[in-house]
Amino acid sequence: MKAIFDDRQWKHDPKHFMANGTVYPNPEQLQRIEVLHSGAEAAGCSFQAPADHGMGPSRPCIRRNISSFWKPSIPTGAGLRMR
Amino acid sequence: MIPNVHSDRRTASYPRSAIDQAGFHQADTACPIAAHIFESAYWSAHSAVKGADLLHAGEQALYVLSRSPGHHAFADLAGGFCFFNNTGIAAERLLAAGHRPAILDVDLHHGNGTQGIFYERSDVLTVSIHVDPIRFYPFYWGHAQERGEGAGLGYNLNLPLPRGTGDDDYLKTIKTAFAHIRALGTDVLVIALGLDPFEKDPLKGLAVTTPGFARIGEAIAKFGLPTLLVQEGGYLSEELG
Repeated sequence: MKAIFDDRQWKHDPKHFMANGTVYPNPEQLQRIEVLHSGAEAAGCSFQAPADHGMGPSRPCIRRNISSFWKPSIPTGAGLRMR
Repeated sequence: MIPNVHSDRRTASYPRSAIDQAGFHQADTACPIAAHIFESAYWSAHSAVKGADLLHAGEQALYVLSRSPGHHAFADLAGGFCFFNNTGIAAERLLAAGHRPAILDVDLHHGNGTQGIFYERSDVLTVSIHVDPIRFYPFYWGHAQERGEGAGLGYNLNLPLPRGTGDDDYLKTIKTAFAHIRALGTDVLVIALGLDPFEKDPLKGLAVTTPGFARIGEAIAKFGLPTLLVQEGGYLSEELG
């Protein structure tokens, strides 16, 4: 089976989140990539990376300029605007 | 960044201060914004787009390792480790290519962001199987009476399960989901693939076993539609890795 992943997905590495007023280790950890990637390969998946289409394909699912406070830099082709 | 002020509705005015924009766009304190979140979420979404393109080109089944995950992300509201709604973006891509997609969410938690994006629409069917949210995240969405609104009435189906539900009842429920998906004319299936219904997942909401997951996989394959499997939740345990 073909599989898709891009190495830039490794970059987000939050250490904690909050629940019930307490700071916990973030369960959405980088190690998940390692485990899921190797598990998929062991099951016969062959990975390839996506092309950059800019923000166009995501725009139908984005309503505000949610990147204005997330992004230190927007990748090539991006240009989010309020709609 | 942890905002301490939140708007009560989407029609509220929009502030200029970053922390309060964060308050507008974050549903909870489980979607931490760090330096590289945009880039990771952007490429996670693009991985789903690539999967949709390959499905349209004729592949029968594909796996997308989307991380950060997506199903708790609304159009303008992050939550539950999710920032861009990867399955929604894939479904939009398939819709634009002339398909009639359905999103079946098998994550432990209700796909509230996905439901929110398509709630008033009839062109993308959304179905979610999850722990009953009456005392479980995301709490405010995922109840059986949420069926869609306006043109979308009947195009959202929630199938909440009691905590601790195991293989047999889960399999019965997925058959109910398939019947609905078939009845509404779906021609491509996007699965929001959470692995956290697993009995040994640290969140301990459902009790699907490893053979149970194999049966779910067989049921999806037997259903016979071209299928895009997009990773959602599923957290580290000895069995996962």
